[in-house]
Parts: sequence; structure tokens; C-alpha cells
Amino acid sequence: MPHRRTGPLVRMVVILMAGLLLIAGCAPARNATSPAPEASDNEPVAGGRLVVGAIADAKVLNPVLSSDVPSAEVWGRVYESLIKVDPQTGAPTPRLAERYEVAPDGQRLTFWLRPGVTWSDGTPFTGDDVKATAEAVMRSKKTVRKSIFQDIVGARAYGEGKASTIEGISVQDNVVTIRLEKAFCPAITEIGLFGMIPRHVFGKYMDGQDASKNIDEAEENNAPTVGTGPFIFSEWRPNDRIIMKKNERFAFGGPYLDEWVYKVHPDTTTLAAALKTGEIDAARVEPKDVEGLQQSDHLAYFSYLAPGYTYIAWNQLRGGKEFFQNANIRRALAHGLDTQAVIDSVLLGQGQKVYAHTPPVSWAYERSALVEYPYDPARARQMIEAEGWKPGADGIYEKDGQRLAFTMYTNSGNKIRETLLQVATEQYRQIGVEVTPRTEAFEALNERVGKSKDAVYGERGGHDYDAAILGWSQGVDPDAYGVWHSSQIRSGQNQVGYQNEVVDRAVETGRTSCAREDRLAAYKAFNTQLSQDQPYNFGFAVNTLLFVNKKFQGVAPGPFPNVQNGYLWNVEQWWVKP
Amino acid sequence: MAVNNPLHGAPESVPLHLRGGAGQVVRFPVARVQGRAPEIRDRRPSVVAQLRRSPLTVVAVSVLLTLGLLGLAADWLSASVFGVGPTEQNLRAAYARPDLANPALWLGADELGRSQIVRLLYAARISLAVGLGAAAVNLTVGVLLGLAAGYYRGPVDDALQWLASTFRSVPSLFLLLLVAVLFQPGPWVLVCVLGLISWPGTALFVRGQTLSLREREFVNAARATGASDWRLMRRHLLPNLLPLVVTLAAIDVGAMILTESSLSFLGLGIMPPTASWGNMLTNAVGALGRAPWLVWGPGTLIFVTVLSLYLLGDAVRDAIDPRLGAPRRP
Amino acid sequence: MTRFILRRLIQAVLTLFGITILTFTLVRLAPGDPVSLMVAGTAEMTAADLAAVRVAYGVDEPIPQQYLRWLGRMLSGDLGQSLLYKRPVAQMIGATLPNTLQLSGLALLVALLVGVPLGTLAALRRGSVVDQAIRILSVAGHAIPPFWLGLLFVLTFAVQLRFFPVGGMLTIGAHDWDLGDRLAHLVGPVLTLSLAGIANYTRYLRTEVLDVLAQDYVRTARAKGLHARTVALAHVLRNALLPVITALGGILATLVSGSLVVEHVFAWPGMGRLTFEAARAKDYPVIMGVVVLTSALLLLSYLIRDVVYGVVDPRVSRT
Repeated sequence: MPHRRTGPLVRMVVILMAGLLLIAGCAPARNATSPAPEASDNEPVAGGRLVVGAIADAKVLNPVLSSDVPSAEVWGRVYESLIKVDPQTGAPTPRLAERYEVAPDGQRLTFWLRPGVTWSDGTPFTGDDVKATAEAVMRSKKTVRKSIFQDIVGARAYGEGKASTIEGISVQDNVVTIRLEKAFCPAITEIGLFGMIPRHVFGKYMDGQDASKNIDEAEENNAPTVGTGPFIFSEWRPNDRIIMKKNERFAFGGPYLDEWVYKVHPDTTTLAAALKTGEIDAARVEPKDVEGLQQSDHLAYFSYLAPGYTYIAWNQLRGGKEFFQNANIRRALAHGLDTQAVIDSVLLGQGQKVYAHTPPVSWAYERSALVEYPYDPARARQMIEAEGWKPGADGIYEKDGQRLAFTMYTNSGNKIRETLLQVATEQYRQIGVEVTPRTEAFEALNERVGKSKDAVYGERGGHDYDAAILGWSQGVDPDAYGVWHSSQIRSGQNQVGYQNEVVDRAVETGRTSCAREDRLAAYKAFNTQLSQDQPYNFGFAVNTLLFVNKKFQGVAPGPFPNVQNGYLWNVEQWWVKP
Repeated sequence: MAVNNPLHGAPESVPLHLRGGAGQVVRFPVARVQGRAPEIRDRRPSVVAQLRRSPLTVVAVSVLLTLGLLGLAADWLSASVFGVGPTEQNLRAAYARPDLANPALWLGADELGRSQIVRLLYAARISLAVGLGAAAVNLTVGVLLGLAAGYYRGPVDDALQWLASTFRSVPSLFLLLLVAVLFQPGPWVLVCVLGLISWPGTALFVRGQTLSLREREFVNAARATGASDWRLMRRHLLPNLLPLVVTLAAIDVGAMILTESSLSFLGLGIMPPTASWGNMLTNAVGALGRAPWLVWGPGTLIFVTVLSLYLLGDAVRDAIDPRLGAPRRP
Repeated sequence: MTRFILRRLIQAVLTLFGITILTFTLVRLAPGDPVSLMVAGTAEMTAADLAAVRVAYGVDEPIPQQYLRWLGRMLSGDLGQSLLYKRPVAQMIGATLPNTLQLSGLALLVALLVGVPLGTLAALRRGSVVDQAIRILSVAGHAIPPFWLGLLFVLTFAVQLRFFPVGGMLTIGAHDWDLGDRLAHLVGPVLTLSLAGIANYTRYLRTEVLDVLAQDYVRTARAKGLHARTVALAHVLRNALLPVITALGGILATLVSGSLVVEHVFAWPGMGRLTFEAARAKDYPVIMGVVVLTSALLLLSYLIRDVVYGVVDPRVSRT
């Protein structure tokens, strides 16, 4: 057989492929190049770019319409709020308002606006913008934020088109006075922390008389044209990146950085990889990524407790599972779960046990009166047997023909919750309680726990689940009405059907008597009762784990991110050390 | 390098093309009929004998059999050899390194301290079962409908054609994704849905083969003796379709295993704590920083299994079609 | 021929309708509700407010009515607004479609450029070691789970060796027309995506070439004394490539649906990821938009392929 040379076609292809690889290989992975700032020791220097990584893209860049954290993180750089909070203590600090006052009866808020603040196009920021924001919310059909403004006098009427302006907000020079229909202590933080949108941009979508006109379809919702924040919007490539540029007219000092980019990654593994290679400068990560990233010399590590917690909800309005209505059984279940072991091995130590609703970092938190339930399987069994249950043939407790068995749900995709579910299943089996674990998509679980009806207690507000592992993320204000008041069983977030007079009164007082001592006392009573009653197994709070490239100075994260600020609350003060 | 055509007999029919869902074009020739009349012996060795000759195929088959047996014996193995079950947690042993001293830790442990090797065994069972189940659904529906359409022709055929082309116009993987995300189906529903995605291809192919087979002399002869339709299909057509169906099956099972593992990778498909290679791989990827060795087990097993299945399918196909295999001396 | 095309066209349109109805029903029937997702965890909303939001998003009406409303808008060119992103669906698809096309198109090109020669080579050297090696490699290419391969690529070449970037389309700060940077970002996903294609075409070409080689006219040409290589290239390739070209029509659609898994692993902002996210959030306008586009393209590609094939091979047009 004569020797055949490789055909010309094959040769061509090989050369082409080699060429391609050569070109590609010669363009090495570039890190964000930015003009090197001038050297000087601790004086902030201008210049540089910050690339922040996240695993979800922002959805809409307008505080009126946004309902998710990524959106808030982005529009938080563009739209400032009347006040901010200290990241460590949660105490209010001035921003657009240099001073504020809450009347003793809790029904009037007054804000003195800081003079000289302008939008990025030079238009002055005035009280009229505050009013415009409230009006935009009340007339919007798609917002989920109405509860923040609806107690303002005249807000509802305006929303329904019965008035052409909100009566309760009056603007006099740089003083904005807001009158509320009833005392509502959280109002100051809720209204104070709400991003303010410009009248001169969004006003054209609204009409005083015509209630059908609103800002819902405005294109500035996705491409803000002006802002009061340190950065202004430049470009948005969906699911890829959002680019923001320095606002030269920023009124609060700085920013030093030229550019801020929000980059989206599909999951935490690629996010951690991008941090490692320096493609992104800052990101929050999960406990499992910490060890690997700590080995990178160029990354600074921050770990702090954030307000919020993961818990197991016991549905007390569930047909067939009436044992959840027995507080002793719930307490036994608390003793039966080794939460610390979960924190140690699943969270790798990055968390803290929680005993009631108010987060440990809040000013309203008081540890002394809270009941702890240390892991004690023997005690758990004792308590269950004291209620008349006897172990059956398979080791699971039985009473009057009923087994101590139930289904526990959590949402798929959240590793921490999935793991807690599996741990709980195992540990409860060892105290004679049979748990059937189930994971569902968050959407489906949400529906099950919040909307669908239990066969027996549906009318009273019972939902279609036995137990579920869920989480709350909390804000600055300790108000807990929506989650724990008995009126919220049918239509609110009281998903376990918990009803207790002490708790009801405490949360009512907490939101209407606004003096600090009154609220402290109310929340103390509230938390004490919850920790005694265990309507949830109050599990644990997870630390926020942050890595930031060491070259950035001025990074000072704390537990009190408002949703829109997070660790970027002072990004205007960040600068790149050369 | 003469092309061999050692068989005498009926001229070859036009080869028909099978169009898979991804634009993949796979070519299958018409089956050879064996033993048509007693005097004319087929000189080509049987399919099994040919398979036995190729070392690669032997290896592939042994791998598959071993995995299958291991999966079936998972319960016994976990009880007697390893001492732990697939869902038993041991938080103290989280991310344990592989340790030859302790059988349960031969391949290390995952984030809950569960034995990786035991989970791989049980996962073998699940992944293989899902693959086989889905392929079974696919083939059953495809063969039955294709056979019926090819045999009866006319309106039955037209109906099948229309049904198949409608199904194929649906972006199938897309719908699979939608269904998986929206409904989060359990393993049985998943098997059915997976199986129903590719039946049109199978059906059309079987139809084509049936169309040509039914014109064969042996079929006409049988019909002349008064055999019923059913008998014809069962005793004459099906056995001749069998080798090709086996090829399809092998490739199908492989493809289904890959699809299931992709789904699990995206967080759909088989849900934990039930172990499947796909979701074990997802888990391992998440734990890369802490326990990089976890990635190799499930990934390699998926690869090896699917590779063996594809090699087997290829080998069977080559054994049937003389043009595709190695040249033989006339 | 015109009647054939017309008939197929009508069939296609009807099928498209059927697909949209099927998808719409699926999406609306599944548990979960886009509005409750948005509301989850936020401060209390009154029942009246919630109802108003539902109306605003159009999820309050019965399903058939919602479908008709969507259909009406779609026929007049309006694909609606995404529930999640509150921006036009057409805009979102328009932003991600080119990215997916880029990726899939290049993967297809690579698959052809590598697969065709490899397959031909294997066929010409049938039975040799080269043939065996190519065949095994092509089977292996099919058998590797693409997400695994992609991950290994990212971890080895991007994280460990830093040859390539971790993901995305362009480095932050790089100019849009920086071809070197773009190529660097394309290598990983294109290689991963094209592997199955390479395997396919290798096997397919091998079969086709072998088939053609067996044909009489090749033997005739050989017998006439033409040089083996001329025979191979001139006759074999031309005839073997014909079905490839007709098969290309069917690939048009897969270009659009792309590969979700590869996009996921490489953080490629394409339509696969868009769809996945939309499915998770029950963002039905986006889902419907993507379905319409993909199905239409799929049907179109089948039509083109059948027409071309019918023209080329008259035996087939009657089936």
C-alpha cells in the first residue's frame, strides 16, 4: 500500500486550529485594568474600578418597583435615601436629610433636607422629590411597597385617584413634614431608608387627576438617567454586567473610584473562582468557599452576623398533626436537634444559634430572658413520653393510634437548608420522631406555605404543610407584626398559625409606642414568650462572608446593611491603594 | 482494498436516514436476513461471535455488567462490606479524605460525612435505572408505533408521521427543562418524560425498516401461508428489527444517563438525599474548595458507563453492517 | 413543489399554535405564581393591593383568556413585558440571542472543520490504528458529560493555570472589539460545546465516505486509473457532503436553543440561561417568547431541509 500523506484539507484544518488556539492563548486572562492611581501613603487617591460579583442579576433599577436584593444593591448606588444607618449599630445617620424628628405621638415625621444636594444633572434635590416618590408608589400597580407609605394621611385617597396629591406630605423650603394616620414606629426607618426618585424625570409619567397613569412602564426603570448616589448608570448587559460611572455632582464627598461594575455569575463556584483569579474584586460567598479563598493573598476576609435567621416552622393549624399545638412537644423537638453541630459542620462555624425572632445585632435584643434548649435527646424523649406517647414497634412514638411523624419541606437549591433538612431527619429519628424530608422549588414551597389551604384548618388560615425549613432576612427595625400577630394568620406572614395574647400585645405596642424604653420592654416580652413557646425551632443565623481585594481601602462592612447598601454602604469612600 | 460483499441474496435496499433531535444524522443499513432457506448458509459469523472478538467490546460489556451487578447488590454490600447506608450522616467525618483502612471511607465522605463509595453504588442503581427506564419507554413507544405505521401503511402511517413531526417540532430539551423546573417531577415521572422526548426518532426509524422489511420474500411467503398480521409482526419482523433496536437501546440508555445527569447538575432531576451520579457531581463541584477528590467518582463513572454503552452500540451496529466494520477477506 | 411548500407551511403554522398552547398551559398550570414570588418576604400587603398587582401583571384571569390575550399581542408584534425584569421581552431576547448564536455558530463551525476531515481520514484508513483511535475518540467525545468537561476546563485552564478567563464574554474594561479578549473567552465554551458535534460529524462522515467508496462509480474511477487521492477528494467528499448540507438545516434550530449547561458553566449570557431563569421564576412572557422563536426556527429549518432534500433527491419528496 503506498504511503499516503495527510490530505491538504486535514493539514489546513490543523493549521487553522493551531492558529486559533495560539491567538486565544496569547491573550491571557486579563484582570480589570484601570489607570494606576498616583502613589501616596494614606491619602485617598482618585481612580480605579470596582467589580462586584453576585449570583443573581438585578431586575429593575427603581426602588418603587424592586423587590429583590440584587436590584437594591444596584439602585442603591444611584438613588440615595433620606437617612442611612450605622452599619455596626443600626442607628440612623443623616444623608439627604441632615436632621429628622419623630413627634412623641409617633404620628408626625419631619425631615430637614441638607442644602446644596443636586441630582447628577444639576437639578436641585428638593422635598418635592420626596413627595414624588411617595406618589409614584401609591399610584403604581406593580409595586409591593405600598405598605411603607399607605399610612400617610391622604395616601390611599391619592392612590385611588380621589385626590390629586398626597395631603399628608407637606413641603416648605427644605422641610418635609409627613403626617401619619396612626402611630407607626417603623415609619421613620422605612420611609427614611427608601430610595428617593426624581420628580423631573418620573413626573411626566404621572398625572394628578388620572390614577391610571403611573411609572410602571417607564424606561428609566431600567436605565436611570439621573441620580443622587455616588455612581450613575451607564450600561446594562442583561445577565452579564451593569456598568456605573462616577457621579461628579455627588454631594457627600467622593467617590474616588471612576467606575463600579456589577457582574453576574451563575453559581457560587464560578463566583469563588472569579474572586481567586482576580476577575472580580468583591463578593459574598458561602461557608464552603471560605477556606479555599483564604489562601489567596490578595483577598481580605470579613465575617459578620447579619440580621436574619433560618428556622423550622411547625404548622400549628394542620389537620392530623395537632401535636404541633402542644408546646411541650415543640420544646422536645428543640432539645432533639443539635443546632450547634449543624453550625460547626455545615456552616463551618460561620453562624450563631438564635433563640427568638429579634436578631442578636439589634438594639432590641436582650439575651437574658431567652430560653435555651441544649441538645439533649434523653430529655427530649422524656418530654415526649410525659405527654403520653409510647414508642411503637419501629421506634417511632405513638399515641391513640397516631404516630409522631410528619413531612418537612425546604427549598431546593439552598445547600444550607437542604443539609439542615437531612440532619434534622436523622436526628429526629433518633428521638423517635419520623420525618419525611421533601425539597421543592422555592416558588412551589412559597405557595404551599403561604397560600394553599389545609384541609381541616384552611378557613382559619392553616396552610398545606406540616413543617418547613425557611428563613427570614430582617431589617433595621425590630417590628415583627406581619410575622407574629394573630391577625396575620389568614392573610399575612404568620404561616404557622401562632396565636398568643402576650405576643399580640407586645408587637402592637412595639409598633405604636415609639419611645425607646417602651419598645425595648415590648420586644423583651415578645422574644421571651416566643423562646418559651417555640412556635418555630429558632435555628441559627448565618454569617455574611465577604471577600474584598486588599487593594481597596475604606471597606467597613457591618451587620446593618439596609437592603440596598450592604457592604457597599460607603463605597464612595473606597479608594484603590496603588 | 476491495470492498467486500460476501453475501449473495437480495440486493441492498436504499439505506434510510435517521434524524435525531440535535440534527445528528445516524445511518443504519438494512438488516441482513439470515437463514432464509436451508441450503443457503450465511457465512458471516453471528453477531455475538463478532462482538466477542473485539477486546474493546468485551471490556465495555464487562464494565456494564459489573456496574449493574454492583448496583443490584448495593443493599447487601452496604450492609456487609461497608457497614453504612447511603444516607447515614456522620457530621464529624464531613469531607473526610479517602482512607484505605476504613472501607466506608475508601473514597472519602461528603459534606455530611456520608460514605462516598456507598452512595456511588446506590447512585449506580438509580442512574442506570433511570437510563434503562427512559430508554425502555422510548423504545416501547417508538417500536410499537413505528412497526404499526410501517406495516399497515395508509392512514395509520399518515397519523404517525403527523404525530411524530409535531412532536419533533417541539424543542424537546427545552420542554424537558420547562417541565423539570415547573413541576419538579419525581423519578418515575422523570423517566416517562425523558422517554417521551425521543420516541419520534425511534418510531420513524423503525417505520422505515419495517417498510423495507415487509417487502421481503420471507414476509410474502408467510403471508401467503395465511399468517395473521400480528403473527407476522411478532415472528418475522420483530426478530429482524431486534439487533438494530439493541443498538438504538444501547445508545439511548447512554444518552438518557447523560441527560439525567445534566438535569441533576442544574438542580433538577433526581433530588437529594437520593443519590444519583448527576447530583453527586453537583455536590462535589460545590465542595471543590474543601474536598476536590469528590469530583472524580461520579464524573468518571458517568463517563465510563456512557462510553461503554456507546461502544457496545457501535460494535453491534458494525457487526450487522459489514461495510462499517473492519474489512474482511472475501 | 410550490404546493408541497405551501402545505408544509400551513402545517408548520398550525403546529406552532399547538406548541404555544401546550407551553402556555404547562407554565400556568405549574405550582407557584410569579406575583407571590415577588411578594415573598416583603412587608405586609393588603389583600386589595395584592389583587391589584395581580391584575397589573395579567395573572388574574382564567388561563384561556390569558392565552388569547397573549396571542393577540404576539400577532401584533408585541411579545409583552417580562414579569421579573419589567422590560420588553423582545429586548431581552434581542440582547441574548446574538450571544447564543455566536457560541453555537462557532461550535458548529469547529465541529465541521474538525469532524469532516477526521471522519474522512478514518474512512480512508479503515481498519488501521488511526481509524480505531478516531472512532474511540469520537465515541468518547459523545460520552463525556459536557458540564463536567466544562468544569474541568474552567478549573484547570482558568483557575489553576490562568490561561483563560473564568467565564463571561468579555473582560471588564476590555474594548468591545478586542478580538483577542473575545477569543480567549470563547475557547472554553466553544470547545466544550463542539465536542459532541465533532464526534457526530466524525462518525457520520466516516459512514458516508465508506458508503460512497463502495459505490460503483468510485470503483469505476479507480479502475480507470485515477489517483486514489483525486478519487477521494473529488468524488467521495462531494457526495458525502451532500447529506451534511441538508442536515445543516436541522441544525439551525439547535443554534438558537444553544446549550444551557455550557452557558451555565461558563457564565455565558445567552438564551439558555435566560430561559432557565424565566422558568424558575414563572416569567411566562419570556418563556412564551423563547418558545415561539425556537419553535418557529425549528419548523423553518425542517422545512428548508425537506425542500433542499426534495430537490436534491427526488425519491424523498414524496414521503
